[in-house]
Parts: sequence; C-alpha cells; structure tokens
Amino acid sequence: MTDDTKVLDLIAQQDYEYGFVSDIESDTFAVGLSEDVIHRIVDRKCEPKFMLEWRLKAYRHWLTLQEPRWANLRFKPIDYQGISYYSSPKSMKDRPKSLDEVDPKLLETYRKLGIPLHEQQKLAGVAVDAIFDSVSVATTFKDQLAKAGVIFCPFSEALKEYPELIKQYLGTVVPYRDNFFAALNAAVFSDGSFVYIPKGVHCPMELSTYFRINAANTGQFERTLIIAEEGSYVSYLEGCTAPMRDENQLHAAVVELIALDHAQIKYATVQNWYLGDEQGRGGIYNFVTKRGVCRGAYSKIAWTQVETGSAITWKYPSVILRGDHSVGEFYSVALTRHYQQADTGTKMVHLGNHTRSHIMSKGISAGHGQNTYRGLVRVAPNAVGVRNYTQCDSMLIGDQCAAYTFPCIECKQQAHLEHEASIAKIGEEQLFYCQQRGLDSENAIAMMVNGFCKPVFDKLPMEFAVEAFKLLEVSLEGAVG
Amino acid sequence: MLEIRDLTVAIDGESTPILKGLNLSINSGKVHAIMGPNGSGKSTLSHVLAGHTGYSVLQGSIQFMGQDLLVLAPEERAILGIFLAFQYPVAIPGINNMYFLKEACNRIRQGRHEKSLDAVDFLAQVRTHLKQIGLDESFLKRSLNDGFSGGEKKSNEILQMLMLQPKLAILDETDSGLDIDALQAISKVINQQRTPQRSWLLVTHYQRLLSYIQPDYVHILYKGRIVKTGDHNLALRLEKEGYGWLQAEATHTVEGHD
Amino acid sequence: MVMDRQQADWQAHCQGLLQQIGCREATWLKDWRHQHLEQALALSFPNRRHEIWRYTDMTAWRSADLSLSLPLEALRAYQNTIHKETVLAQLLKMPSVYRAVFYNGHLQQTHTQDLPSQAIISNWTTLLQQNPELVQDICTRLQYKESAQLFKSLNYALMQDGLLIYLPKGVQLKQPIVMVSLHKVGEKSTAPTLSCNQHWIYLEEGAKAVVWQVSIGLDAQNNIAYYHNVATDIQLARGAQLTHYQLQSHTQQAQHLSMQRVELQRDSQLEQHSIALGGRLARQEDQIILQGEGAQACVSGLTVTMGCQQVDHDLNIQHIAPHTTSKTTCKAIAAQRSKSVFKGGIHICPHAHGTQAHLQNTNLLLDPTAEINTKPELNIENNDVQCSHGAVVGSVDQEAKHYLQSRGLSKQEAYRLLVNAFAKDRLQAIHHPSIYSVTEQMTLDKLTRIAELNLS
Repeated sequence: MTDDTKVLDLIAQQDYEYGFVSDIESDTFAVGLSEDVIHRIVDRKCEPKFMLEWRLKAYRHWLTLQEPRWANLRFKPIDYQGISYYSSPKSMKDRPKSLDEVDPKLLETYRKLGIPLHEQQKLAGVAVDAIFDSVSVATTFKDQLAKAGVIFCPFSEALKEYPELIKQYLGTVVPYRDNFFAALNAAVFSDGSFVYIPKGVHCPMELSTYFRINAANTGQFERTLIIAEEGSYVSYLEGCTAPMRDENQLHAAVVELIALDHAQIKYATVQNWYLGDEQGRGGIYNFVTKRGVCRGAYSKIAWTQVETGSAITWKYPSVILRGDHSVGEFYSVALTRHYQQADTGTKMVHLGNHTRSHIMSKGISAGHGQNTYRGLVRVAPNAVGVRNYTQCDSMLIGDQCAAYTFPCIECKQQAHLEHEASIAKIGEEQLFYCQQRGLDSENAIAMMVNGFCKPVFDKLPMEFAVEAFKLLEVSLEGAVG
Repeated sequence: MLEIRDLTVAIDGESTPILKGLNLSINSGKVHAIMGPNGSGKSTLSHVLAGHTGYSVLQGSIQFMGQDLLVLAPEERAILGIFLAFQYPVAIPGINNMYFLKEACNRIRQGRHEKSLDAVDFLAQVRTHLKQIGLDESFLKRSLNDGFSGGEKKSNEILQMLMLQPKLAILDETDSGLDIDALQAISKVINQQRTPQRSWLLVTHYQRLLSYIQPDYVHILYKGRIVKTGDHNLALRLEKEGYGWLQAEATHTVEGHD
Repeated sequence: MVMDRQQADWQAHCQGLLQQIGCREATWLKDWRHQHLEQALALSFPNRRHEIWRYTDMTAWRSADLSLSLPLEALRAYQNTIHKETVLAQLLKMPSVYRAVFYNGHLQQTHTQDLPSQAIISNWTTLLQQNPELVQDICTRLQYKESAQLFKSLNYALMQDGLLIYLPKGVQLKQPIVMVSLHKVGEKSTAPTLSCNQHWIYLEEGAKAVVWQVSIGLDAQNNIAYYHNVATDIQLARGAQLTHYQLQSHTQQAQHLSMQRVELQRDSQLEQHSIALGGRLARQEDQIILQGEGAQACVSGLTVTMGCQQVDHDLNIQHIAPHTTSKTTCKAIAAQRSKSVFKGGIHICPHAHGTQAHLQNTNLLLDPTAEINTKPELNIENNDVQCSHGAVVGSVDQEAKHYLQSRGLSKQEAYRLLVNAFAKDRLQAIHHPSIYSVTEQMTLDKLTRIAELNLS
C-alpha cells in the first residue's frame, strides 16, 4: 500500500498528527448565537425560505431546552455564546468551479491529512466530500457517480439542486425536537453531505466524507442525509480530525439515514478528533445524533464506528426498525485514553414484525480513560418475532481507567432478546505469556487489542480496517509499562 | 549451557525467599528433571528463568550461553532459546491460535537473524507438527488457549515448542492434565527432539513423565534448595516413598552436577 | 401550578399522618421523626422522567387518602382473622423456629423459647420501654449512613414498629427466625391504611442465622388497597453468615415497598433468596455493600406477575473491598398485562482488586400484553476483576412444548410444566425444607392460576 492510496493516511502516527493549524484566511462570524445569526447563515448560503423557517423553529425550541446531563460524562459547561457558528475559508466565497480554483493552501492541508482531492490521485473506488470548518470544499468522482444516478454532493448544493428531496426527508428521522444538540444543529448547521441512491442502484464505489475543524472558537455543525431507495445499496465512511488547541471545541452533527424496501445502508465512522493532551486540556466535545430508519420491508442499516478521538463523546447511532423483517446492526470500537470520556452505544427500536438487531460493542479504556456503553433495545407491543443479540465487551489497560455498561431492555411483546457482557484485561500474566514466546510487550498489546476488536474491524471496508487497527495500535503505545 | 549460582528469589514485594541459594548447572544435550513437593519452589524457578516480573532476585546469578540472563527481557530470553511450557497457559480470547504461532515464530527467527517463514513454509511445518502430536487442523482456528481442555492446552504448548526450536526447553508440570495416550504421544515427540544441542528441564511432581522421558539427572528441590541429586532411580524412590523422608535428609545439601 | 398544589396536599397529608403517631414518645424520637419528615418533604416526588423511576409510577402513594394502621385495631383484627385463614396454619405452626408475627405493622406475638442468652429477638416498641438508649443509638447511627431517599425518610418519620434481631459474637442459631407480616384492610374501613416497619438484623463476629421474612396479604377478595413501607438494615460483622429468605405474597391491590441495606464486613457471607408474588405495585430495593475483604454475597430472585401487577426489583451491589465476590441470579415470569422491572447494578470500586461479580437476569414473557424491562449495569473502576452480566427475555419454547405434547401431555399441562421448570431452580435454591415447602406451594399455586387463565 502506498501512502497516497488511503483516505485516513498518516493516522498511524504516535502523537496527534493532525494537530496543525492551517493558515488560511477565513470568513468567520463573530461569536454568539441569535436569530440574526441564523438569518445571516441562511443569507450567506442562499437557502430556500422553508429552511429559514425550519431553522428558526428549531432555534426557538432549543432556547426552551437544557443541555442534557444524564450521560456518564463530566465536562465544563459549554458557553454557547462564546462560539462562532459560521466559518468558511475566504476563497470559498465564490465556490470554485473545479479543483484548480481551490485555494492551494487548502489543498495543502488536505494533502497533509492524506486526503487526495485530485481525482488523478485515485483512491481506488472511494469518492470523497471534504468539509473544512463549516463548508464543503470539494467532492470527487461526481461525474462517475452521476452516471449511475447517484447523487453525492455537499448539503448546501443539494438544497439548491434538489430542494424537494430535502424538504421531503430533512428532519424526518431526527426532528429538531429530538434533543438539545439536534435542535442546535438544525438551527445553525452550515453544510454536510447529501446522498441519494435511486431505486435498484448498487452504488459503484465507497462514499466518504472527511471533516476538519480548523478555525479557533468555531463549532462544527454538519448534517448528513442519506436516502436509499427501494433495493439500493450504499456504503459510506466518514473521518474526522481537528487542530490541537487548549480550549474545547464543539462538534454537534446530525446524521439521518433512510432505507426503503430491500435497501441497504452501511455507515462507518472513523472518528479521530483531537482528544486533548495528557492532562486532559483541550479536545473536541463531540455531541452527535445519528439515527437511521428502516422504513421498508427487508431493509438494513448497519452502523460501524471506531471512536478514538474527542475529549468527550456523546453518541448513540440508532436504528428504528419500522419495516417488517428489517435489520439493524451496530458495531463499535471505542478507545479512551488520557482523560477521554466516551458515553456511546445504540438504540434499536423494533416496531416491525420479525425485525432483528445485532449489537457488538468493544470498549477499551487506558490511562485515565472512561468508557461507557449505553444501549436500549425496545420491542413495541405490536412487533412479533423480534430478535436481538447484544454483546458488549470491555478491556481495561492499567488501573486508573474505568468501564461502564448500561444496557436497557424494554420488551412489550414476546421476543427473544439476549445481552451479554464481559470484562477482559491486559494484565501481566497475558503479557508474560506472549513475551515468553518472543513478542515484545507492544507487539503483544497490539495483538490482543486487534484480537479484541477484530469482529468490529471485519465490518469496515477493507482499506479502512487496516487504518483503524493502526490507529488503535498507535494510540495504545506505552499504555502498559 | 545454563549456570545458576546461589539463586535467592522472593515474590515481588515480599521478604521471605522461596528459592534460597539454589545452584544448578545444565550442559548441552542433557535432560534434567526437577522434582519436589508442592510449594518447594519448582514453578518459581521456571518463572524466574523465563523472566517473570512478579519475582525479585535477591541474590545470585544465572548465566545462559555465556550471557547474564537476569538483565534480559522475557522476549530476549525467548530469542536466545529459552522456552517455557507453562503449567497454566493463559487463555487470550480474540487472538487466533495460528496467527499467534506464526507471529511468535517469525519474531524469534528475526531475533536470531534467520529468515522469516512465508505462509507456505509455515503451514507445512505446522501441519507436520500437528500430526506428530495428534492434533486436528481445526485446532489452529481457535482462540489462543480459549476454551481449551487441560490436555489441549498442554498439547498447544508442545506445538509451540516444536515451532520455536529452543535451546533450553523448560516443561513445567506438562504431564499434569494429560491422559495416558496424550502423555505417550507428547513424550514420543520430546524424545525425538532430544539432540546434542538441546537441553531440557522437566519440572514435575510425579515420576510418571520420567518413565517415558529418561532423565540424565534428577534433582530434588525442597524448601528452596536442591537437596539431592541422582539418576532416574531417585525418582523411583520418590514414587515409592513419597517426600516424607526428605525431612530427615534436608540438612545436608547436595549441589547440582555439571 | 398543578404540581405545587399536589406537593402542598402531599405535605399536609404527611404532616397529618405524623400527628396520628402517639404523642407520649420521647423527645429525641419525636425530633427524629420530624427531622426525617422534613427531609422527605424537601425531596421532589418520584417522577417518571427520572431515570430510576422510568418504569415505575409511584403516584398512588401520593394520591391515596392514607391513614396509619393503629395497634389496637390491629390486635382485634388479628384475633378475629387468625383462625379463619387456613393459609396461615402451616406458617404459624411451623415447629422448631423462633417466630415474630406482625399484623398491619404491629407486633402481635413472638416465640423465642430457648434463645441463647444475650441474643435478642424483640420488637423495638418493647425495647423503647426496656432499653431506650439502645434504640436511640441504633436510630442515630442509621441516619448518617446514606443520602436521603424519599420513601426511606418517610419510613423513618412514620415507623410504627419493627423487629431487632441481634446475635452476639459466635452465636450460631440452629433454628431459623421466621418474621411474618400479615396485612389486611380493616373490616369496616373503606380508606386504605399504611403501615411502616423498620427491621434491624445485626450479627456480630462469627454469628450465624437463617431468617425468613414473609409478607402476606389476607382477604385477597377485598378491593381496597393497603400500603406497606418496610426498611431493613442488616449488618454482618467479620465472618458472620446470614441466610435471608424472603417471600412476598401481598394481595393484588397492595402497594408494597421494601428497602433493604446490607453491610458485609470481612469474610462475612450473605445468601439471599427473594420470591415476590403479590402486590399491585411491589418494589424491592436491595443495597448490598461488600465492605470487608473476602465478603461474599449470593443473591437469588424470582418474581411472578399477572393481571394489573407490577413488580420491581432494584438491586445494587457495591464491591468496596478487595477479593469480594457476588453472584446474582434473578428470574421473572410476566403473564397477562403485568409488568416486571429489574435493575441490577454492580459497582466495583477502584480498590476492590480480585473481585468476582456475576449477574444473570432471565425473563419469561408469557403474553404479548405483558411487559419486561431489564437493566443490568456494570460500573468497573478497577482492572483486576472477573465480571460479567447477562439478560435474556424469551417466551415459552414452542419446540419444547410441542415435544411434550407429542409425548401425550395436554397443551395446558405442557405449558404449565415448562413455566414451572423455568421457576424451579430458584425454588430449589432454598435449602431449608419447611421454608422450601411453603414457598414452593405458594409459587406453584400462582403459576397454576396463570396456566389456567392463559388457556381458559
């Protein structure tokens, strides 16, 4: 594998490699949030009128809500008036028509990140949409996708080109009333990715979005919407990084997935936002609402996530299983080290008959890291023949870390539901055994972690599985003395 | 090959030693058996030789192939040629048995400046050895020692030994947990592996193993010291009379052989 | 505004209840009651928006026009009913036991013949007269133990009576102690009554006891509810061993709330078996604190619900000291439109090295209208542990049922057999033969009723 063939290249470096700040002139709103700010976002992006109304409704609703505190997380209060809600590289004001017009500094940034935006640097079969601070800067392979009828473009562009589709689906899976951060996102989100797979189309390549926060004091609020029509298939991957800064930055994204009859969506995340330093200073606050709905019969949504970054992770990718015989899956590896805290898991809501779900969560805690699995499996009164299997394993490395498992089963119909959890550790005995067979302790840890996570990595697209493994391996270097 | 002098060892953080000035020399190609009642320090000795961090060496030295063993990390000792077949091999769920074996094999070969085995050669070797021990190939697909029966664990240790080709093989209670057929099969393999370049340290509570693998020397470890050394007849005497008579003889210490 | 009004009514109501308690009590006790009532009223009433009350609606406790059960009325009623209820015969005549019987929260009789000297089995209203300092001392120690909890504070404020079991160092009782709590709505009364009990079980170093705590609702046909709030404080000193059997068979109208706290010192052992069959809303909160090295707790539970019933079991095990172990096996059977709620929290503190904790919750959902909510939780703050939990919700295995039918059993018989088989291991875990036989009989009666209703 050569260096320029991978989206998440360079990630396998010991320190946080993506901590650089790009010196790019940007057009950034002054800090603060008000109806005026929302008007300005809508103006700046020339959005249709229905969006303004929707955003204002969301904002007014948000004002009535309190920041949720039920999660197993401790963090300093967020000053919502101390954040800038819009930042865009200046040269993007008049969107470039082609990559040649993109600011070379911006392209340099992506080169450093290992994201090839130039189509000639072909990443085999992966189309990329790159989001820098609040706006999408470039999307690759558009023409090739268009031939197949697949729409893959920045959200802002979709609002102009396909307003009817957006109007029909936006907020149907995650309404702005859903929660505090979803309301905030609806009010101020600036861009994101939009994917539409027409009936019967098997998307010809992996789709990928790459997120980067650059400017200081900005929040990132992107929104992704994926619609898979009857009998279609799509596999999608997102990756994230941010500069190292001493203050905490907020990321509050929303992802909505809609799968119609027999459609299949695979959504993978490799999250590597800046995690803060060894003392727990700085790092991204990652409050994300991700939900998919299996609307059609025999549809399937699978979430796979590898969470290694962020100071705080609050994230529960969920599936509403509405269509009969639909399937929801959740595969997760979450690593916490330094002072990272992750409260993550899933909700599987079984509304349709014979719906099935499978949850596999692997939490690794090292250093002072805290890892919480929080899950809900709900069976509605009318859903017959439901099955769920949940497996939830924790691995502890060192003696300062903690693991929590909070599953919840709500069952209002005869069903077959199973939850199992176990705790493993990398302790001296395991290390000694491996060392006696000639492996040094870092090889041994890498091997054990890989073994532990393999069932989840197997669910990632192949080229990313390797990266994800390297990412973990690097993050854990020196975790055991 | 191995020269242990005045070895005094305690469990890390404790002051009462388990091994109290142990002396032992092992030459190339010889088979030494260490016998002794429970708690005499047999397992401590094998763990210290392999470099377990849970013990502190209070006194004494260990030379192996002319090198000071005590300054080396466990994996460096493994590369040098020390292999410990554990009494209780740990189970590590999630690590594939074959993957582990291949990784260990190549790490050690690299350390010895030998060429790594490619997948084809590796598999060919493993298959030969599996057959020798009488194991099925599906054995390789399981997680390392996870859910293995006592006998399977012990067989797996021997399989690893065959692949790693050590200079000194320490077998810690390898016979326990094995039925008679498995014991015979393993003994046969071990006897085939006896070469003038390879030495053996068999740690055992019973003499059963020794009727299949004839030792050159039998040592009795008692209260942290080697109190008696002899040939196979000594093991037979222990079998007949138990360890009780040692109490009386414990006073005069017999040093290890050359 | 509505909330404020409700809160005000509730406060006034509780103040009224406190006034019903005898005014001749010692000053410290009066103060103690008032202090805890204030504490209770300062706390907001459980709301389903709170995570711990998400599945449980306690509003009946606030909206009912309760009056406290009175000692004299209890005595008369006890004498009138005692001979009529055959179900009691077996219980009250059980040979070779120490016994204490409460009726609507007031002690009626004790049987403590041959109790070793210095051991105490006595109710605390009696002790208040004989040894008031002891009661005061226990009460004072109790109140600082944990943060305020509404129903516990209310229990402290309104407690009417309770049993003190005290075994001095090394005393090992050969006979079990049977605590029977009988409940019945007064003959003429139309308003629901509330009884509040407070039991203390203290085992000194090396002491050993078997305690059977039974709550039974009489006159199951009566439609009027009664309320029972019971708090139990258990202390096991070094090496003490307690086997604690519990059987709860209230009427289908009863509201039952049991809060139990067990503290285990070094090498002490608790074995607990709870069988919960009755109550409109019955909630058992168990807090087990493994405070000393080597302490062990083994918890077994079975709940069976039908009709409008809801039974909660909220279990919380804290491993504070190293090398402590806990093993929990809880089962629930939910039939018709009933609801079963289980929460099993295991907390392993940073210093509790070498801990072993295993929890399994298995549920049988017999009807599409029934509901099961289960939340097994692990909090691990230490890496030297062996820990697992599991939860399963399933229904009667159709294959197995078919198999039994193919061997000649009727559909009904096959169904009954499979449901009984599910409950069986929890019953068989009860080792005392007489306790087993009563518990089994009552459980099987209920399971038979479920089987009949299900197929009629």
